[in-house]
Order: sequence, then structure tokens, then C-alpha cells
Amino acid sequence: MIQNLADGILTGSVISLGAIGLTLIMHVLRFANFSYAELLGIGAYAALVFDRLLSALAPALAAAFRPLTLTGSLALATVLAMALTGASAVAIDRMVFRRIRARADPLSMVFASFGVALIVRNLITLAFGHRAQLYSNDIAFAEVVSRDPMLLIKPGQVFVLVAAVVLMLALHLILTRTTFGFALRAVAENPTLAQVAGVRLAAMVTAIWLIGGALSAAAGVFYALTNHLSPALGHNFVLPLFAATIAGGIGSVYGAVAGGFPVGIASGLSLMILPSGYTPAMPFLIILAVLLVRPHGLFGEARA
Amino acid sequence: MTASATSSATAAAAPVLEVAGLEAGYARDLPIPQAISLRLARGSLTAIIGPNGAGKSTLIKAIAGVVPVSAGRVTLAGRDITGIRPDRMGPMGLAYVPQTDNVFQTLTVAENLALAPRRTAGRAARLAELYALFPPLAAKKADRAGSPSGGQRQMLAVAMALAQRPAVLLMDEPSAGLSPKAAGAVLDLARSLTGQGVSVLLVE
Repeated sequence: MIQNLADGILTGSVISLGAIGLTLIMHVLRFANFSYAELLGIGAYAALVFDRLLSALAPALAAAFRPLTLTGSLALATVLAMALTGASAVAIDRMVFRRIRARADPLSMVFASFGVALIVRNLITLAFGHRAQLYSNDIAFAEVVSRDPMLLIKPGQVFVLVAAVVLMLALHLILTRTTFGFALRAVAENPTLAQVAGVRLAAMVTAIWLIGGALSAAAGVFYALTNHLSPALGHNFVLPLFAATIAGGIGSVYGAVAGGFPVGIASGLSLMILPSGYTPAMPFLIILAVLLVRPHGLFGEARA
Repeated sequence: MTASATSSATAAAAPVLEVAGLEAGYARDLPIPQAISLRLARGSLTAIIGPNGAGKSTLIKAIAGVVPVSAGRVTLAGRDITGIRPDRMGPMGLAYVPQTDNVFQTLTVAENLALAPRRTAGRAARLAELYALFPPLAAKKADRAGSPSGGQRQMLAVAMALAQRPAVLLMDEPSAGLSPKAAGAVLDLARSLTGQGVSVLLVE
């Protein structure tokens, strides 16, 4: 059980990172963006490309930080991938969603998001093929943390958890210590009042896409650090991200963080009693359970 | 709602806010206030009174840029501000206090106040002035804005508007939902602002 719990916490940290941008987008732009999870795929593959490029240009960067399999080039590549994915999220908004929201209702945006997801996923497949890929061919052996109960943890998993928590703390500091953060939270709570208070909504929407894209890229890289990378990466996270967002309360950054961990843990623990084929159903059960008790989610409020 | 009004005997002087033939609404072909004209003198207090559904709130929302204007013109100190985005109104000198949901309840009192003067010169000094003007807010800086009483929330909403150093303050039913004492205090505040040269337009 403790092994499933540990694996669930790790998956939960990836889900939480990915859900932060989704919750803000859903609240501010008032549409369920089914293409959002593809940003994890864009980020993970962008990091792969940057990693290969940097390793070729500066072979010294290809050395791993032992005991991790993470290399200097991949660390730099992750930062570049975060920037590129944030820019991609803004570009997708400018090319597709902004045009639609100027002329049509949010339902049209939902349908468009399905199309965007298909396009992104297929472009990734076209460029990289269906074959699963790895950032590193080195085998990272798991450390035996406990024999009874048995608990095996890879150093990379600890790194991912710490890095995800550091990113979330950094975001927390921005949200609570800077006027930019106040403005972002104000837009998430009440976009109309935020405008009246002098906040430029279009700039904040761009910032939300940038932040959401960057965090999604980190989530994608973190997941692929301890798993393989395939074009279905984003697709596999659609339901968990929505479950974390809805369970946490749409519009609440802290809700997305708080929602991600239960979704990851429940999916991990479900493997103890259910065949793995049923694991994708866990997010649905969590959404239902939370909404029955708190219709606006754990941290959500009735919309202003 | 159709009307024409002039705020005071000093209207012969150049008005600080002038609305001419304004029509606005949520649907393009369904204007709620129609052919509204009014002039506000500097430092005046003007109230628009009417039954529910007459379009009073829609009128000041349209002036503030929150509701689309379908016809007419709004000028502030001679400058055309018709249909300008709400976030640009503050720096131009026009602030608006909505009737409900007028503070960010998940932000603290201090965070709410820090939002408005982001682009205002002398930001720290302005915040200090506002805390001096509204001592109860200074005592509740770290509290969530959703927790104070209705009167204090209204006070915070007005303070957020004043943080932008407006020449014109629009207030939508500022006494709604308040106790008679709190409502009196808010209206006294509106009256006192006129002494500082702020023109106040409120609907009740």
C-alpha cells in the first residue's frame, strides 16, 4: 500500500502542476479547454529536442547529476521548454481561441479545443513517431527505503516531487507577495471587477497562458523523467487534470494543487483493488464524490 | 429610461463629465437607458433616483465602460471616453464602485487596496492617505476582504476607487444592503469627497 501511496503522491504532484493553468483558464475564459493537457506533451517533447541539441553543442552538459539521470542539458532544456510551451499556449490562444471568443459562445471554444488537441497530438506523432522515447537510456535503480512494508523509490522521483513543490511555492510567493500576483488572483475571482480596478484583462489572460504553459511543460518533463515519453502523454492527463481542477474548485490555484494530490493518490491506491484498466475511472469518482459534498469544489466559491 | 439633467447651478462652467444622448445595453438592438444626457460640475454630488429596472445601474456601467454603448457620447474633462475599456478609465480620472461584488473577497484588505494604484504616481503615499481616511481598513489590513461587515466592505470598495485619484466617482446604490448607520456614513463620505473637488454621481 505504501508503495502505491508514494507513486500516487508523485503522480499527484505532476497533476497539480498541470491543473494550475487549466483552472485559471476555465474560470477566466469560461470554457473547458480539452486541448490544455496537450501542453504537457508539447513541453516534454520540446525538452527532448532541446536536450539533444544542447548535448550535441556542449557535450560537457550531457553528464548526469548522480544519483539522478537528469543531465545539465536536460535541466537547461526544461527551462527552454517551459518558455517555448508558454509561448505556444499564447500562440494557440491568438490563432484559435481569441478569434472564437470574439464571435461565438464558450461552447464553440470547447469544440475547438477538441480540434486543437487532435492537431497538436498528431503533429507530435508526425514529428516523433508513435514509438515511446526516453530522456535517458541510463537505468536508475530504485533505492530500498523500507523492506517491511516494501518501499522502493528512485532518486528521480524524489527530485520530481521536490522540484514540483518548489515550483508551486514559487508561484505561491508570486501570487501572495507581488501586485502582479494580486492582479492574477483578482482576475481569477472576478474579471469584470478586476478591469474596473485597473487590471488589463488581455495582459492577464496572456500571463495565465504563459504561466499555465510553463507549468504544464514542467509537469510533462517531470512525468517523462520517471516514465517513457509518447504522443499520448497529454491525452492521458486530460481526465486527471479536469478532476483536479473541478475537485479543487474552478478558479482556485490552491484548489488545483490540493485537487491534484488526491487524484494521483486515489489512482495509485486503486491499483491495489482494481485491475489497472479501471484506473482511468478514478478521476470521475473523485469529481463525483467532491461535488456531492461541495458543489463548488474544495476551494471554489460561487462565481461572482 | 430617458432623461436630461444638469448637476448644479455651476453647470454653466465647463462640466467635468458630460453625457450626451447615451444609449446602452447588453444586446445591440435593445438599449436600456435611452437618449440620456447629463452634465456634472466639478465637486458636485448628483443622484439618479428611480424604480428598479429603470436602467440606472446600466447607465453608470455604460459611462464606466463596463456595458457597451450603442449611441451617444461620454466626455471626461472634454476628452471623449465613450466605450473605452474599464481598466483605462481610472488613469483618466473616472472610478466606479459597483453595487455588489465590489471587493475581491479572496484577497486581503491590503491586497485589494494595493491593486488600484499600481500605475498611480506616489503609490505608497496614496495608500497611506487612504488608510488615514479609513482607519477601520488600517486595522483590518491582513483580513480577507470578505470578512468585514457590509459597511466596511463598502468603505473598502470606495477606497479602492479613490486610490486611482479620480475626478469623477460613480457609485451604484452605495447604501444597498447596509444598516441605516452604515448607509449614512457612506453618503456622508460621498458628500465629503465633493469638498475635495471630486464629482460624485450615484444611483439609488
